Parts: sequence; structure tokens; C-alpha cells
Amino acid sequence: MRQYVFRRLGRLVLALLGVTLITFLLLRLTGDPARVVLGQLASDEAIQQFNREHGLDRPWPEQYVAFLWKALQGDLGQSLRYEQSNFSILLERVPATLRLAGASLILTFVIGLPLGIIAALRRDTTVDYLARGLVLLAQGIPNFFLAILLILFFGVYLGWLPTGGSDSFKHLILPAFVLSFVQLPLTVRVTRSAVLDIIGQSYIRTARSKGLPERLVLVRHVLRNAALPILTILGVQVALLMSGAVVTETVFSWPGIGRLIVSAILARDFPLVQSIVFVIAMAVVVVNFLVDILYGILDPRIILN
Amino acid sequence: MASSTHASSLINSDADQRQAAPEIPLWQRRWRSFWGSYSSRIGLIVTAIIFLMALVPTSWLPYNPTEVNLAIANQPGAWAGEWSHPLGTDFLGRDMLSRTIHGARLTLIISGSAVVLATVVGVLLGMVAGFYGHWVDEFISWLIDIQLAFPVIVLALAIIAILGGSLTSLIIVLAITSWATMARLVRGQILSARNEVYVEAAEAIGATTYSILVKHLLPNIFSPILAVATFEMSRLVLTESALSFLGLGVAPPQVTWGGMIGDGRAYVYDAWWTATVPGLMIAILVIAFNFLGDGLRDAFDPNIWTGRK
Repeated sequence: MRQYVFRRLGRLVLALLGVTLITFLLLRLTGDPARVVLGQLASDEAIQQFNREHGLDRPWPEQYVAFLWKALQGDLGQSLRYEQSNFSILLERVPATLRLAGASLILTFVIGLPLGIIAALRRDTTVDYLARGLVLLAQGIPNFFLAILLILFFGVYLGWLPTGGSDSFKHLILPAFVLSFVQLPLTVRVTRSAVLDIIGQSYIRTARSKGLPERLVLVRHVLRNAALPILTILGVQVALLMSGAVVTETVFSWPGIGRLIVSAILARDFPLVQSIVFVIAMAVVVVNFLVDILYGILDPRIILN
Repeated sequence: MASSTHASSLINSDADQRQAAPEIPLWQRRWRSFWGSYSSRIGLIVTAIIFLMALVPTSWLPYNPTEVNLAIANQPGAWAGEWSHPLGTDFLGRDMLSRTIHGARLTLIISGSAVVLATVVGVLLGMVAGFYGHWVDEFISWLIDIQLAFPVIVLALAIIAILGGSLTSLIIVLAITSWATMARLVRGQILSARNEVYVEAAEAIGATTYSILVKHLLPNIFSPILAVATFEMSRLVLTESALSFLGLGVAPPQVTWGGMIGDGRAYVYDAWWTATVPGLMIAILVIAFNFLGDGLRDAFDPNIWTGRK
């Protein structure tokens, strides 16, 4: 186990290095930061002084190490537009995204898991066809388009739910639903195929033939084993969730980091863009690491291999 | 485990069994499997129709798709009895039907070029990683891991911010978000095919690495590549539309379905059709591609023919 954790830790560090390197380069590729900050008309002396002050005259491997060192201390630089540190802007915005993402993850599992399980147990019945139809629909509809349709129906036509903002629980319902629709296809598909795979195994036949009630076969043998592949996709879900959050937050004017990155890009506030990309990619990498570890604990076969 | 000395006898017995089966050419069997399923049939027909839409010359369209006429802005279509513009007009009075037909072209060109680019890069890197192993594999797998850590839309937004929104940069961005999926698939396929008898046989008769990779391995992993490329294409159509919706797609007057939804977004309360028509077209295209991918995967799945399924 220890060796397994260390190997995963090694991979985590490598992935973090890669992710930070890419985000570091992203900002360098946007052109001369001094020109972006001081404007095109700035004098050459002013540019040189800016570069000296910010260490931009150093060779870039050195700049990268400095960037890493600062990032470790929570210093992600200054936003150009807000005249605030990127870190404090992120701190303000992250909770809203976590709230939305958390609600939609719960919704995804509450809808997706039972649907996938029932579809597998009642294979080729109406329930299964309905589940497959839903997966197809959720895959095909662009989520911002779904958002527009729901806003039109529940917000404008029926007037039951607010069309944007984040003041109350009511504001959370539509965005969370739209965001969970992004993740439903994967969840239902993986759950369905995992359960289908397991009910064909001989240990299920054994459990049934020794007279175990169907409910216990399901809980003790089927679901326990199906939990593993479902857990694996959790890492993928986080990346999906963040992509979906960008669009969903924009449509519903949700004050999270997804909407922030869009407005930062339109305002060409590159340092802010960089720190958002940085935080999101870090989150994905760390969640994947935790999933790997959890997987190792739940399934001893992984460690032995 | 059969050693290589037994390989030839194994191949022979396999061939004998195949002889015994009724003679239907492989491609015909695949076609029958594909056409036998309703969903892949629908997928193929719908995709073909959309391709035909993309091929319609601009001069054949009822109106010029970019011609502005503010006098008839946001005019409803046939459902309100306006047959001159059956699908209505958008906020600049442009004909929705012409734009919808014309928009198929760029939508397909963008996602299609991106898929081809991503497939070429992904297959190359995946094959190299799976075949050479060791540090080459470690390095490419590291690249794949990092790529997958960046959420598609977030990365695409950041790159477009740098490159600027043009047709070329959009294609490059979409390809960047897609190559890793392909590379990972191909790497896994090569890893499992690497120790097959036919590779061993090719190595034994002194085939070059290039010929083993291109002539022996590539044809054998062709079918999953084709299926995944189809699924990726549908995913990229969605990504392109999301980027256009966020205002970072192709610049007007170029027309894509995603861009049309973006245009219609502000008028959705007054003119629902301006966003709904292209939205439905995207949904139809994506579902058709998914049907097509499912059908191709089943038709090419060797397990169906060896009776293991």
C-alpha cells in the first residue's frame, strides 16, 4: 500500500509540475506583460523598469521557479482589471462554484445511479429504453441550449423559477439541473454497463443459488463491486463539471469562477485567466489523485498489480 | 500460452474454421451488421442529409444568408403564416432557413478538420508510446495526463484568448482538446496488440518498425479509431457551439450553428426560433453521429464474428 501511495504521489507531483508549466507558458504566450499592463504607448524605460521590478528580465526557467514558489504561498499575482490580488478574487468566487457543482453532483448521482442500475437489471425493457433515450438526449442537447429552453419554460412562461442570479435556493435549481445534465450520460452509461458486467459473473449465480434474497444480492454483491468503475469516472466528472460550469454560470449569471474566466478573457485580464486555469487544473489533478488512492483502498487487486 | 513455434499451426486451424463458415466477404458482413440496426441506419441517413446541406451552393439558397434587412428583423416563420421566410428571420432580418442550411458547412468543416488533426496526432503519439514503451511511453502518458487535467472549455477559452478567434485557431483549439482521448485509446490498443502472434511473425521475417506499425498494427486498430473519431466529432460540434455561444467562435459574417444560437440568445424572449432552430440542428447532428459511431463500433467489433458475443 505504501509503495502504491508513493508511486501515485510521484505521479501527482509530475502532473502538478506539468500543469503549472502549461499555465505559466499560457501567460507568457499572450505577449509582453509589461505592454499589456502599461499600454502600447509606454516608454522603453518604463517597460524596462516594469520588467526589472517583476523579475521579467530574468531567464524564464528562473521565472518559472519564482512563479511556482509564489503560487505555493498563495500569491497568484495581481488582476489587471480589478486591482486586487487574483487569490482574493478567487476566494470570493470559488464558494459559488462549489455550491453549484456540489448540488449538481448530488443531483447527478441521485438521478443517474438508480437509473443506471434499474436499466441494467431490467435490460431491454421500457425502463432501459427510457434510460438510453435520456442518455442520448443529454448527449445531444448543447447545455446552454437546454438552459435557454428551461429559462423560457420555467422562468418566463410559468414564472416559477428565477432566470438568473444566486440569492436563494430557488436560484440554484435550474443551473444545478442543467449542469447535472452534462454529467448524466457518462454516469448512467458507466453504472449500467458496470452492473450488467457484474450480474453476469459466477459469484452472483452462487449468491442466488445459496438462497440469498435478491435485495441482498444486489446490495452486498452487485452494488459493492459496481462502485469501483463508478468511482473511477469521478475524476473525469470534475473536469466535465468545470467545462459545464463555464457555460451554465454564464447563462444563469451565477457569480462563480466559470463566469469569471469568461469575463476575464473578454477583458484580456490574462493574469486572472492564468490563475483561474491554474486553480481548476490543480483541482482536477488532486481529485484524480484522491480517486486513485481510494481505489487502491477499495480494491486490493490494483495495488498487487 | 502458445509459443512462437506453435504459432503457424494455430493460424492454420483458425483459417480452417473460417473456411467452414459460409463465404461472405468481410466488408459485406460489416455492412449487413451496420445496416441491420435501425439506429445506425437513421444515423447514416441524417448525417448524409446534413452533409448535403453543407454542399448546397450559396446561390441555390432562397436568400443570401448574410443579407441584412432590418425592416423584417425577428420575424416569425411558417407557424405564424409567414411563408416568405419559413423559419423566420433573426435580429438582423437575415433568413433563418438559408442560414441554417449554410451554417451546416462551417459547422462540419470546423469539427471535421479538428477531428482529422486530432486523430493524426493522437494516433501517432499513441502508437509511438504503446510500441516503444519505457521513457517514451512515460513521457507521452505524462502529456496525456496533463492534457486531461484541463477542462476542455477552460483550456479552449484560454488558448483562444491568446491566438484570437479565427477559423484556424478554432480548429487548432478543438484539436488540442481532442488528441489525448485518441492517443490514450491507441496506446492501449497497441499495448495489447504488441504481443500478438502476427506482430511476432512480422518481426521474425525481418519487417521494419515502420512496416509493423503501419501495415500490421494500424489496420488492426482501425475500427476503434474510426468509432472514437465519430464520437469525438459529435463532442467537438458541441464544444464549438459552446465557444460560439460564449462569443469566442468564428467572427461574423461566417455562419455556424453555434454562432447562430449565440446571436439568438439575447432575443430568446421575443424570437425563440432564432436560438431554437440551430439548437435543434446541433442536437440532431450530435445524436446522428452517436448512432453512426455505435453502428460502426458494432459492425467492426471482431467479437461479433467469432461468436464470443
